Amino acid sequence: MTDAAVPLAVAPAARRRPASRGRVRWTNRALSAALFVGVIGAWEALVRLFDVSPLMFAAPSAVLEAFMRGVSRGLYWEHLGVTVFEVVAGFSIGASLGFLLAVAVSEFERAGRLLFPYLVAIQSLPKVAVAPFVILWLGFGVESKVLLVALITFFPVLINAMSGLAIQDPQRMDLMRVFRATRWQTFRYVRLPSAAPAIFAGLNVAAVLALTGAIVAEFVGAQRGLGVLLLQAQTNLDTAGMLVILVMLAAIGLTINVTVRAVERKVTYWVARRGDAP
Amino acid sequence: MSAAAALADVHAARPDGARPILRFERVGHVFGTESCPLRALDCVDLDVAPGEFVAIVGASGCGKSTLLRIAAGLISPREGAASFDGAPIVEPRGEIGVVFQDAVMLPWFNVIDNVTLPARLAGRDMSAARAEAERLLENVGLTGFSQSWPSSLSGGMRQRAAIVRALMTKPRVLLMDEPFGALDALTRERMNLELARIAEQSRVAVLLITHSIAEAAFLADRVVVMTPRPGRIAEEIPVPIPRPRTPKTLSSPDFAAVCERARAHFLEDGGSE
Ligand SMILES: Nc1ncnc2c1ncn2[C@@H]1O[C@H](COP(=O)(O)OP(=O)(O)O)[C@@H](O)[C@H]1O
Ligand SMILES: [Mg+2]
Repeated sequence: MTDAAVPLAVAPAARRRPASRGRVRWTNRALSAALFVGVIGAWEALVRLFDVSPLMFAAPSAVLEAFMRGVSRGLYWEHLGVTVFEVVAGFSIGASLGFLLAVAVSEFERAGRLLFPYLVAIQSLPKVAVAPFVILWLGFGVESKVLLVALITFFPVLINAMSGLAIQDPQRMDLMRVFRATRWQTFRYVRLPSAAPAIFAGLNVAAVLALTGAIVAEFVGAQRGLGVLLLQAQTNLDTAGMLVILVMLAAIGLTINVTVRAVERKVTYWVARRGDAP
Repeated sequence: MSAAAALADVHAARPDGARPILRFERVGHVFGTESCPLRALDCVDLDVAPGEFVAIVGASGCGKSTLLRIAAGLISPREGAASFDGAPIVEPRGEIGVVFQDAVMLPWFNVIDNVTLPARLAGRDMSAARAEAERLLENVGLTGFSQSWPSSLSGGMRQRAAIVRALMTKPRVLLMDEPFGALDALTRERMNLELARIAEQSRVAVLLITHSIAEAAFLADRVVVMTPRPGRIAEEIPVPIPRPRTPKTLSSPDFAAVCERARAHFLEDGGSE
């Protein structure tokens, strides 16, 4: 016990083996590349084997061919740009407003209690169903699509941010009171970071819905956008062309998803995630 | 430290005229509703002198935390009053530091940012605060950990950081609510020695709540025994053991006598601890 006042010895950091971790990562990458090639190959083989009508479905080779043809005609970029703009603008507006309203509601508790049942009711209404109204009000241009995307992204962010901000760790609150933190400081240093994981859960849901909203709004009535292109290809019985658009939509969706998750990792850096180093 | 020993004797004698730094006067508190009241505290009178170390022991639910939260200014008592240096405590104040059972480190801040949080919140000079924090961290054996994340520290290290954070406001009273309750027995003994040293060095008055009679007797100048339903002070036991307290303290007859006297309350109570 005589050594009790001596500082605790520092536990040596758990030794990692970078070589083996690296090898695991490369093995995983090789496996997913092989899986990708396998899926594409199987798709091609099945279409050829069963001699599927090109009116019903197209092989990857035909899709690629259609894509190259479209690219050479300069068909995609404008529509792609329009859809991406609708998604990004609508998402930014909807998510920001959802977050801000959640903050306002959590700061004024009574307002929150009064509003909550309505918000939940609206939340369970499929927002794409109001697309016809939005088109009716704002016309066939980009504005109506941005509004619908904003509407769709608003609610998941609002609801998740509200529930995140509603959870107040009493110990952290006591700590902030003991240090006589202002309301703003308590929000900035405790409540907002505590709610960040929930807010990002909302953003992840909203990101997926944003693209859906843009495409549905384009289906209902638009002049430009990938949704328009998809309908045109369908009218022309151009199945391969339709599949090109689907692949592009999948790529956009994936990019949005990966981006939001990357931002989440950066912002909520303290949250331990599955697969992280211990 | 003969001065501290003398101090302990003085407090044991409790002469009138020494102005307490912390005082509870007939403090009572009731939780719950009008129809279903729950009395947590009943008529608690307690003084803590400047630099004195007072430990409160008592079974769970006897109102210890409530008493401490009243002293911290986190709740105001239904009856009676708590005062700091003669002024009523109506809200938390910088001269009263608090250490909770869990270290309550904010996971998005590293150790130094957690520890300097009080300075940041008070808008004080951060570089001076960092230098001060580094010095205090060094003093509790956390040298080199200022950039670590709280999650990478052991429970004992986190609690040391929490103590440093509480000391950052230069409190004259330190309130500690079962600060080592979540630690293993060996770490706990080590933390007790550390806390004894910190208290002796900084001359801060400490009000410590604990479940451990041995911990109370080892650290305190006075052990206050509380009994439940309603929370009352059953006895105040002076601890006539000189400072600095060392591992040898544990084998002194005075230590054993204090422990035994405190333990008697819990045995006659049907062993409710
Ligand atoms: N916020 C509260 N609301 C209602 N009852 C409470 C509250 N805090 C404490 N109590 C009750 O008051 C009594 C004393 O609690 P506490 O001061 O936490 O005791 P201790 O810290 O000694 O275990 C307990 O019976 C507890 O259930
Ligand atoms: Mg308690």
